[in-house]
Amino acid sequence: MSEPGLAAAVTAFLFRESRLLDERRFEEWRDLFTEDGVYWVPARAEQDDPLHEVSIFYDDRAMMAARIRRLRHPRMHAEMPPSRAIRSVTNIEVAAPDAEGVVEVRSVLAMTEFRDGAQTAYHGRVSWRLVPAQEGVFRIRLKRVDLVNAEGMHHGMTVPF
Amino acid sequence: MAQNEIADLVRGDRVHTSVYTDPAIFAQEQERLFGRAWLYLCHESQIGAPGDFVAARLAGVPVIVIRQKHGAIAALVNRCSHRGAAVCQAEAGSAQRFRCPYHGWTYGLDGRLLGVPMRAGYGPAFDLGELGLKPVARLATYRGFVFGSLAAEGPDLAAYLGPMASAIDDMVDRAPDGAVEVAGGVHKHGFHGNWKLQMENLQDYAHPAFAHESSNAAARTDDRPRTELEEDDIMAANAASDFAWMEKAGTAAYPGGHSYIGALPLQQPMPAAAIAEYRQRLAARHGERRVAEILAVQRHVAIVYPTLAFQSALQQIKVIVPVRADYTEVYVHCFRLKGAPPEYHRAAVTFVNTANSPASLILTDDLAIYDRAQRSMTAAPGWVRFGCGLGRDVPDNHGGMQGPGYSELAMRNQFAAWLEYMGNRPAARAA
Repeated sequence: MSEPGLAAAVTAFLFRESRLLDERRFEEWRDLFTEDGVYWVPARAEQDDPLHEVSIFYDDRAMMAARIRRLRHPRMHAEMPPSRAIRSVTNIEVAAPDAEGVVEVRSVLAMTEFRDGAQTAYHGRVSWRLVPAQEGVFRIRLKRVDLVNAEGMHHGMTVPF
Repeated sequence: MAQNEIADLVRGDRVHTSVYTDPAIFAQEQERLFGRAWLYLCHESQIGAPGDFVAARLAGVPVIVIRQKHGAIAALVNRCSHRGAAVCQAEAGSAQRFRCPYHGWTYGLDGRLLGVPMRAGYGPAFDLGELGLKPVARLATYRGFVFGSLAAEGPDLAAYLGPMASAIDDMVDRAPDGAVEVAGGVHKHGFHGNWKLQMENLQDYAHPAFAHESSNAAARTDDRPRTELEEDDIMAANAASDFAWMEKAGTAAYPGGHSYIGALPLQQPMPAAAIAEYRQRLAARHGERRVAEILAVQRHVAIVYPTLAFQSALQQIKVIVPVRADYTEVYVHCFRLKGAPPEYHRAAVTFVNTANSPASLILTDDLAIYDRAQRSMTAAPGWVRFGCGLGRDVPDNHGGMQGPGYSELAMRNQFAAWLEYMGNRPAARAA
C-alpha cells in the first residue's frame, strides 16, 4: 500500500474504532483485537511494565469480554442510565510498516462522557500496534491510552476510552 | 456541636444522616477524631535512604515524612514558617534540604531553619531556632508501617492498634524474608461522599450479592445472552449461596473501631510450583508449624479505624483521606512480600487492578452508590440503620465481639468509637 493509502486506511480504521465505542457496539469493538490483543491504560506516565505495576485498564480479550458482559447487565449501578460519550481522534501519525506489515500508530484522543448526571473530559495519547488483516483492514494487537492525568485522582471509569 | 447533641446522633441500631452530611460535624471530626487518632503515613520501604521523603496527609494537614541522615524518621508539616507556602511540591523524592519556593527560607531534613535571605532585615531578636518546620506531635512505627498523630498525648501506637496489630502481622509474617515493601504503584480514586461510607463498605458482606451483581454475573464464562427473568433467577441463586458463605466467614470487632471480616471463598490463580517454592522459603524462615499458623489466618479486609484498611493476604492497603464531609480520596498501595516467588507480586498487582482500579469491575459500582447515598442523605435527612445482628454478637477471645459475616457489628463498632472521640471521652473502651 502506498504511504498516503496506508495513512488513509489507518485513519478510517481509527475513526471506525472510536465510533463503535461511541455507539456502544462493544462486542464489535472487541472483535477488532487480535487473539493476543491487549487494551492498556497505564496508571503512570511512561509506565513500561503492566505485570508488576498497577494499571487502570490491562485487558486481554477474556477481560474485555467480562467487562462487556457487565456493561450489558441490567443492574450495573455505575451505568444507570447508560453513559454516553463522544471520542475525537486527531494528530494521527503512521510509521512505516515493519517486515510483517505491522504498523505503529500514534494519535490523540479527546473523550467527553456524560454519566450519572455529570460531564467528564478525558484526554490522552494513544499508541496502536495494528496488524494488517486484509487490504486496508487491520486488527489491533495493542491499544495503549496514556491519559494526560494518568496519576491523577480519578472517579470511576466504566467504558473503554 | 455540644456533646449531648453529638451523642443523640448515634443510637443503638441507627445513626443520623447529619454525621455524613454536616460540614460542621466534619470540622469537629478533623479536630477530635482525625486530630487525635494514629493515622497511617507511609511504609519505611518508601523512604529507604537518607533524604528520601513522601508526602502524606494527617487530619487534613499536609505532612512530609523524611528519612534522616542517621536512619531516624521525621514527619514535618509542609508549611513554611515565613508566609505559609508549601516547601515541598513533590509526592515523593529525595532531598538534601527543603527550600521554600516563595522567598527562599531553607530547612534541613530535620525541619530546622538553616537560612533566611535578607536576615538582617528581621532585626537582632530574630531566632531561627524557633522557626523550623513544625514536627508532627507523635510518630511511631510498627513492623515498617509508619503512623503519626497530631495529638501529643494518648495511647501509644501498640495500645492503639490493640488486637488489630494482627493485620500488619498478617502481611509481614507472610514474607519469607520477614519484610514487605511498597512495590507496584498506587491507585487513586475520589468519590463525592463521606469517608464513613467507604469504611462501612469495607466491612460489609451484605452488599456484594446486590451492589456487585453485574460483576458476579459477568465473571461467568457463559456468553449466552440472558433475559431479565433469567437474571433474576440467577441472582436469587447467587444471593442464597452468598449468604451461606458470608455467615460462615464471620466478622470480629475490637475497641477503638477496628474490625475484620473473614475470608471470601476466593482462589488466587497461582502455579503449583510457585506455591510449593513459597511454602518452602517460608518454612526455611519459620518452620512448618509456624507456616501453617501464618497461612491459616483467613481475613478478607481488616480495618484500623478510622481510615486504614488491610487486605494482607492479597498484599494491599487502602488509605482513606477524608477531604470534606462530601468528598473523600482513597489511595490503594500494592506491596511485595520480600523473598516470595515473583508470581506472588504479579498476583497482587492483578488483584489490586481487579478490585481497586478506577476502572475496576467492582469498585465502580461502590463509587456510584456512595455518591448517590450522599446525595440522598443530604436531600432527605433522617436515620440510617445498622441493626443486623444487633444483640446476637458474642465475645471473642481477644477482647472484642464476633458475629456472622452479614452482621452490621463492624459499623456499630465504628460508630461506638466515633462517639468516644467526638464525645471527647477516652477512646479505649470496649466495643
